[in-house]
Amino acid sequence: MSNETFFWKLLSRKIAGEATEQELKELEEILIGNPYWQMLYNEMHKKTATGDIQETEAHQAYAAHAVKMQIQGKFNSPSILPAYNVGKNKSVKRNTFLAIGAAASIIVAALIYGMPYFEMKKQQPGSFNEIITKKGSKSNIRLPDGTQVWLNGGTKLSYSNDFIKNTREVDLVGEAFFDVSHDPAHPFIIHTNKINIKVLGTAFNVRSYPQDETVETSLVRGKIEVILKSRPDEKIILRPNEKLVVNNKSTKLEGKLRPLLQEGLATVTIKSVTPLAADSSILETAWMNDELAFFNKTLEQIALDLERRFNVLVIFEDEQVKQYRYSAFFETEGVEEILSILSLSKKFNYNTEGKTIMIKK
Amino acid sequence: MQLTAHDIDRLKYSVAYARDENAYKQLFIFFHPQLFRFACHITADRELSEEIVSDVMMRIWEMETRLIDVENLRLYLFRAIKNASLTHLNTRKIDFVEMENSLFNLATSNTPEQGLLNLELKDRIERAIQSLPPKCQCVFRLIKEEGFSYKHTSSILGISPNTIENHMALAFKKISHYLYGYLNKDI
Repeated sequence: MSNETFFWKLLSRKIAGEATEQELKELEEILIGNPYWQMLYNEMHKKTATGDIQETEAHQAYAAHAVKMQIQGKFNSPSILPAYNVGKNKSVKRNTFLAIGAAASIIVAALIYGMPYFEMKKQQPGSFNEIITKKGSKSNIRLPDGTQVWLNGGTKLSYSNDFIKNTREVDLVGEAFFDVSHDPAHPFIIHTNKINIKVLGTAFNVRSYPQDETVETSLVRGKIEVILKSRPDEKIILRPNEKLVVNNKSTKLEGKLRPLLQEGLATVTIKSVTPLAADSSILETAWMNDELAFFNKTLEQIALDLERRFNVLVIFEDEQVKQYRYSAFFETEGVEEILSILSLSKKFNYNTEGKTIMIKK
Repeated sequence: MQLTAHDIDRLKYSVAYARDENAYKQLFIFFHPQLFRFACHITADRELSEEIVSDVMMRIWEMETRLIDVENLRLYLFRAIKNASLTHLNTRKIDFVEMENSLFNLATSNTPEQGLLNLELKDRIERAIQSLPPKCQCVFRLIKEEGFSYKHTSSILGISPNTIENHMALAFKKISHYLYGYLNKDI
């Protein structure tokens, strides 16, 4: 064995903690006579830096992982189950789900579409699948390619039956969280009214309710490519923990973190997702855990979320109240309780008749 | 987050017997960076690696009380990651993947504008490591960066301690040559 090879082996043993007393002595003697090796030896002894970024990444990964665990029923804590009577008693919630959840909450229909639709999509004849969640319910489905989708209340997802063959394309109206299974050969594309989103394999949330002021997509991990329908040549790449906000009604500017481009009068911005305190979850996906989270939202926008979540109808009898702004987080509270808590912070009155809630000053 | 071997054991029991989701979360957060790094080094694919880590960690939860039989959890996890990664690569009919330089800047990406000189050396060492043949690099990282012994590395990768030492010697030799001009200028 050459002197050099002998030295590398000694160094290797030292680093792996395998060296004997005798070997350590020999190593030291060699090092004294060779300053270059001494320097290399010092460098090799430095600990590799492991930074905060990796810890943040771990928390993100856990957020996605925990959702997966809950969906597959590994965890006991209630999570993505349809919220019928959101009472304080968690087990009641679960039982409600077990009894009527799967049967009642999801309308899964494989529909053969009529003529009008055929004309629109001539290139893809055959049947379509359509999944609709009612207001006040949620559901989780697995697409033929293994992609998991969680649908929030009042949402419609449709895809063609030959979905898996070429590109994987779905149409979305409403809000959904996608955990797209990895398959670079078949890009996954989501069509909404304002934007198209192209992914290779990743987890993210899309919120595109026609009634809302904005269309949003929030990325948990991976990478997605967003294309505005009105400007098909420009691609926007989103990185983890960023969200893209497109104004639906072209009204006011929202957030100014990275103003991107003007889309007619509508504004496109990229900002970061809003972390919730205490753990690694983010506001944008709170709905998946039956939680409601608002950050500086008007009562008008909050009312839309309450309608979707509790299947109620909210009517404003006062225009001014609509513009009251709140930030709040609710876990198990019912709709009445939420309204009473909100009205404590900025006062308004309301009364309830059956499923209708009237809000006034 | 830092956990001692004793902490890991304690958390392992909480997961196995109490089905404690918070304990499980702590294990996940602790192991994720190293397992993810390892999977990436084998597959050179971040998204795939994320999936692999998630699958392996899910199996840990599913083991329930059998988890107690796992004596060295860290070693067990590394072995599971290696097997899962190779299974994925097998379906694509490739062996260890050659690393692209751009793919792995984990070690350098965390250090902002602190001491440019220092950063450059780190950068060079990382590049030298990346230039190693895949298997050699894998052995080197497990021992140098993850702190495994010959025996544990041998158990993770399924190669003999002798081969491991040869890989290590080769790695040091190559890194030494790679850095020679750079380090030597100060002597």
